[in-house]
Amino acid sequence: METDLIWMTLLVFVPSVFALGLLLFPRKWEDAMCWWSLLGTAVTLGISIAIFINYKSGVVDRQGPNNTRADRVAMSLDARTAAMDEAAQEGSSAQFKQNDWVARYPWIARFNIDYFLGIDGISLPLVLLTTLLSFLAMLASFHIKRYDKGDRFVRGYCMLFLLLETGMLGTFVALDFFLFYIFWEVMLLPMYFLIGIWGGPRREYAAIKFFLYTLLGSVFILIALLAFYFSNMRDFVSDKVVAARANRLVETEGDRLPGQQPQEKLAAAKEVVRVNTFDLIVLARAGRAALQYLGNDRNVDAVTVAPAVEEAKAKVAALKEANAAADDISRAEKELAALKAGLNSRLESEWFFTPAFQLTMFLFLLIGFAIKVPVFPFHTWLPDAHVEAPTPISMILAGVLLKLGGYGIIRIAYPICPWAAEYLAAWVAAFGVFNIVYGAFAAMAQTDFKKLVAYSSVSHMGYVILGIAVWNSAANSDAWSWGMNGAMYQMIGHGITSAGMFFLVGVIYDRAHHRNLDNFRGLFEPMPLYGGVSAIIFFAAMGLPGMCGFIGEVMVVFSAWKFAPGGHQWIGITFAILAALTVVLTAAYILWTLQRVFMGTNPAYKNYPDITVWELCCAIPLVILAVVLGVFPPLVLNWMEPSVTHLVDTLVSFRM
Amino acid sequence: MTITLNHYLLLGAILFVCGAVCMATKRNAIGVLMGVELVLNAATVNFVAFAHYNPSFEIEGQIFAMFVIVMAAAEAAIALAIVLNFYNNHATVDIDTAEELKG
Amino acid sequence: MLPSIDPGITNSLLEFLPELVLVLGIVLMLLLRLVGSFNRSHLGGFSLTIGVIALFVSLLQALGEPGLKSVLEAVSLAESSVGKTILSLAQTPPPAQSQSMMFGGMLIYDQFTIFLRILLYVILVLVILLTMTTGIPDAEDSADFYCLLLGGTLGMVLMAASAHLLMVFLAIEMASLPSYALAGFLKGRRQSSEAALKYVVYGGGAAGIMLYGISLLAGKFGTGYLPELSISLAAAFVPSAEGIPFDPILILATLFLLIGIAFKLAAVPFHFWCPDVFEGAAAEVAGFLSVASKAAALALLARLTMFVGGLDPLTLTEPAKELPYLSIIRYLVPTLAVFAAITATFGNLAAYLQTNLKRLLAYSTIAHAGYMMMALCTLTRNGVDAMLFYLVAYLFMNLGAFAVVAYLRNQTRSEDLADFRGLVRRSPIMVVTLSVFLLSLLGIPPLVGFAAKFQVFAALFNDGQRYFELGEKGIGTTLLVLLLVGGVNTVLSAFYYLKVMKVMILDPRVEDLEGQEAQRYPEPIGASLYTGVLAVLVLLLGILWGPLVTWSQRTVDRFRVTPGKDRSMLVASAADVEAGGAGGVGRAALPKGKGNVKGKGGFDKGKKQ
Repeated sequence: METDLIWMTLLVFVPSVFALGLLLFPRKWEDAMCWWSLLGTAVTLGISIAIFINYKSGVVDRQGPNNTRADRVAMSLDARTAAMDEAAQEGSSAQFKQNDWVARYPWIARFNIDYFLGIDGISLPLVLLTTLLSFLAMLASFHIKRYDKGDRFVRGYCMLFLLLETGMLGTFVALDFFLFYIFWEVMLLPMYFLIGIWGGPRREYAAIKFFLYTLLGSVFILIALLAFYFSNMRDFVSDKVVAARANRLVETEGDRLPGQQPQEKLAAAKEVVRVNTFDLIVLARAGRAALQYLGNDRNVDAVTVAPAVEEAKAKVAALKEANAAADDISRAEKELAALKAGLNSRLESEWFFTPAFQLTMFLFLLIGFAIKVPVFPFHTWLPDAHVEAPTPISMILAGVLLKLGGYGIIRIAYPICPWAAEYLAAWVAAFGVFNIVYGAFAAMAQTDFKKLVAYSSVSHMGYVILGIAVWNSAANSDAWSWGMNGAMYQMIGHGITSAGMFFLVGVIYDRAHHRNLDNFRGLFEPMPLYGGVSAIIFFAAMGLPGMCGFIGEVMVVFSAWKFAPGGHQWIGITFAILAALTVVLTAAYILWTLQRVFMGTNPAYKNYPDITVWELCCAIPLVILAVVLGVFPPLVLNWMEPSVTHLVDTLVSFRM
Repeated sequence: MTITLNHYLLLGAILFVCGAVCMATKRNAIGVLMGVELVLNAATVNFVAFAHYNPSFEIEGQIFAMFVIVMAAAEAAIALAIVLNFYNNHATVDIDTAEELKG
Repeated sequence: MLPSIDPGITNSLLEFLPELVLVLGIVLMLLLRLVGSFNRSHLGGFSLTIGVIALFVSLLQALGEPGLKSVLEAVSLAESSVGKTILSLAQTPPPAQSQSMMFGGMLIYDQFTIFLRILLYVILVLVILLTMTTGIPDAEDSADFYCLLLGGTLGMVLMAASAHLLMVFLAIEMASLPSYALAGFLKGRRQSSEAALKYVVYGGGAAGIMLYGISLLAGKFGTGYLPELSISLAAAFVPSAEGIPFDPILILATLFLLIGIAFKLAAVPFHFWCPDVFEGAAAEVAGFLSVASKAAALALLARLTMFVGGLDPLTLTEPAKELPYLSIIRYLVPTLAVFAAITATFGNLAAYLQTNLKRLLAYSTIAHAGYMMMALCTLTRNGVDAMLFYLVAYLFMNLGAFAVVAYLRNQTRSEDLADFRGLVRRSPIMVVTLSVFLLSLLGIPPLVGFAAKFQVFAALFNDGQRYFELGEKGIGTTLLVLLLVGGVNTVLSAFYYLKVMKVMILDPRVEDLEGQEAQRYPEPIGASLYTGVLAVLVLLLGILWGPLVTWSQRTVDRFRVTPGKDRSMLVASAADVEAGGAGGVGRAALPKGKGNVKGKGGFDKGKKQ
């Protein structure tokens, strides 16, 4: 067993182990249970930091010190997975690199499902965000109580919380689509109960709405999962895998194959074998092939990602360079032609490479993930869920769960269906912009503090969608990679600021027992420290330069400016202007909120205690991060950007 | 006029229809069971008729018929026991009164 | 000179060994009542022993000679006389792709039979354990109860193994009659007697109709032996020069046969007995019926449809030649699909309005039967494989749910959802395990229900795609639409499963509103252990479902066509029809040679095919 598999498994399952441990506590030891769970989240945070350090030194610094294109390719998941598979074929485990941070273990042979985990620059910041926010949310959960009942049921809360953390972490590190789906669904249930038991007055309605919306989205993702599995990935896996599957075919259906000798049967099996897999890397390769094939008028020569064909091409070129004998060259060329013919026949006949399939599956995936992001019009579960959930759960919901949608789009929807993504780029970007504007306007109209923060989340996630969607030409690929990086950075920044905002709302709700913005006033006087902390977090959310929110927003707006779908420059410029103008709206509602809540005087709140040390412990890390990430983005960008830009590189240059 | 297979099949069909109507319309539970018996006997008539007119089905048809008769008897035994139990609880064998388990 | 026993009979008896154990058990239990001291003792332990022995014997059969040898060598008994006896008793199970006929062609003995046997005996053992922990039946009635239970299981095993229409009818009756009595077992309850009456009246009617259909089918084709009958039936739908021959008697007969099976399956629109019977019967009996009789009915449907459908049409070797003669699948697949879709949807929609927990579970049972029928619609090995896996998963989750209902009935004397509000404080183990079972029924990973649903959907998608490749666009589209229906139904079912969990966990209790502390109900250790073990199994199987799916895949290998053998009869017979002129299938269509064998009563069929 590779050590990186062990580390990643620990990362995902340590919270569950701690959850099981909670069963041993007697019911009355509520504080002890909270401390135990806090220990669990702390251990997970420690593991994730250890993984980060090792990833940075082992993968980023070693293989990609100069951040050239070749470096990015060497650092990518593709390269690391290919190296790992080759080492596995050699057979000796000593060949495995212990810190390449991809690892595979066979799980269910019948459906070729592997326990396949991996980390790269896209998932690692989100993993760190998850573990940090889980730790802080657990810190904030020590005083959790139920809305109208005495008994707090702390054991259930902590167990469900830790189970939720397992689900979130598993989703971020899984590289097998089936495994990803399992972790995705595992999150549904703890969330339902966490909202439904410890939430506010309308908690049951909010919980069931959340559950049903997400379940519906999951069904769409399941259909796409099945569709991808049953596509023949024969050309996009290594020859050895094809040979292994062909062997299996000979064993099970040998009597049906033509030929008498085993070699004939094997050759016949190799012709007809179907390679079905859930491996996201292989599926991404096929997606790129579809992009090249469909984007170049169905020209098989445009496809450059089929390993066997590329090897044959390289062999022919090498032979020609070395001026080898004419028969050798012609033999190699014949092999190449045969391989190309096989590839061509599959490209023509397989459903995967038809526009209809790509568009349908992209839409299914997009709908499934868009419900989580959330994108208008699938966002209606968010205000209810956020308002009714208890404070720590709102922090997790806004801080991590929304990012899962964005992560799914970047990791799955775009790599596997890039042709459809390019085709629909303008529409996706339009939805993103609509999110931004709609969220801002809706937030302005709110009087419930939490609902305002919820709608501001909708607005900020719109930047994420916009940043992902602005597909640009190969010449301007920089613009799109700015956008993708901006989207990722916005996800991290928004995670920090929204968690902070929800926490701060919770602080004031604990004291005032209401969230009505019209009734707050003059909180600066009794609670100056709280006011200061709130100001920083809210300014960060607003996108004030020097805070984390600004970096993401500005990168997205710059990339949108250059967005020119179909050559129409005006579309990109319009989107950019709208996105930029919304900053004004955002500033409006945030500053207005600050004014309504903190400024002026109000005798009713004169005796409120200021923010306690315990609460400060939850808020200060977020404050620090909000400032540091705004002032020194390379802290994150250094190791996040290569992976994101690599994704853009692979997708952008498909025209022959 | 020679009696052919079709005449027997017609007889079976008439018995079947009678039995089905009996099952569907009778209110008395025993009446419904009589309808079931009629249907089973319709099938028996079919079997014996096919056995006679179809040489390859000769023995099989008779065996079918005998098993069906035995089975019908067993079913009647259990059904009547259940009707008796129902009567003990409800003081009637009218199946329309069986309304407590709503649909 | 003693007449020698036909070796076919001894082979059959040895293959029939587990069922013989059951028969012995039933006879012994009936006789034991004559002995005074046993008359008043609870015979649960005895019947449990019988069930375990039967399960053990069928597991031995599943291992087969090579497997048994290795096991015996492991315990170093291989050379001893005991070991040699056991080996001689072990009937080599047929290799994956063939079967042997038992009792002259009445029953089939193949991997499918063995799988279903093990499944049904596991159900039997679990149900007996359940009844021993809940206290229904009491000692006085226990002999009757367990006799009926064993008898019903026997009938169900025969249903799963039947190869002849007579056996189909007998087995269905043998499974149904004890079920009628079991449904009414709580003699004193009015609802119980009403449920039993409805069951017997509807069941008898359905059996009669089915028998009439059987009589027409068997008589028309001159045989009741399923493999031959299905060939003739399929050949009757061959399109000739004047189009598809429309024989009303044939269609009516097939319809009646399907009605009988649909009744047993509680498929819509023949489902109306199911909620009433489940509500009126005891929860243990309802659990047994919901799992075992569904399993047997689905196994029977699988055999029938696979035979009629020509044994996995997607393995055609010569599509151009064989597909016209398999045109029956163009009717069979959409018919089954429509029934499956309606069953699943109706079950899910009707369950939401129920207030009685057993009725709600009855409708959920109907819906799950719909999902399994969806898997069968594909008429391929993939589909049957998915259905078998779903059956195993369903066994644990559904039986667990009914077990919890039984224990809750013991604790709270009620089965109404309204009485279960806030139950989580009073009876936490029961509520937690019930939640696990309900979530598995819903299909949430990592529980086994998700793996089962995933396989059904995978089979639907894969086979839809392959039918498209074969050129059958209609069938392909049907299967893909069915996939969408299945997905929507999963979401629909979330409504009522979550409703139950919400009532039990989230709703306030009466005591809460009055400010009192909740009293814990006494949870007997047997109850907690039973449901706890089943819940853990549901979780474990959901994570490690690899071995089970390998086993079920090996089981359905039996449904392949051996090239040149099985389907050549179909092609040949249809060619006879064409050569013979006008439509009408009868004796003339059967390949020569088979007809002679028929008249001799069938012992000749004891050969291995």
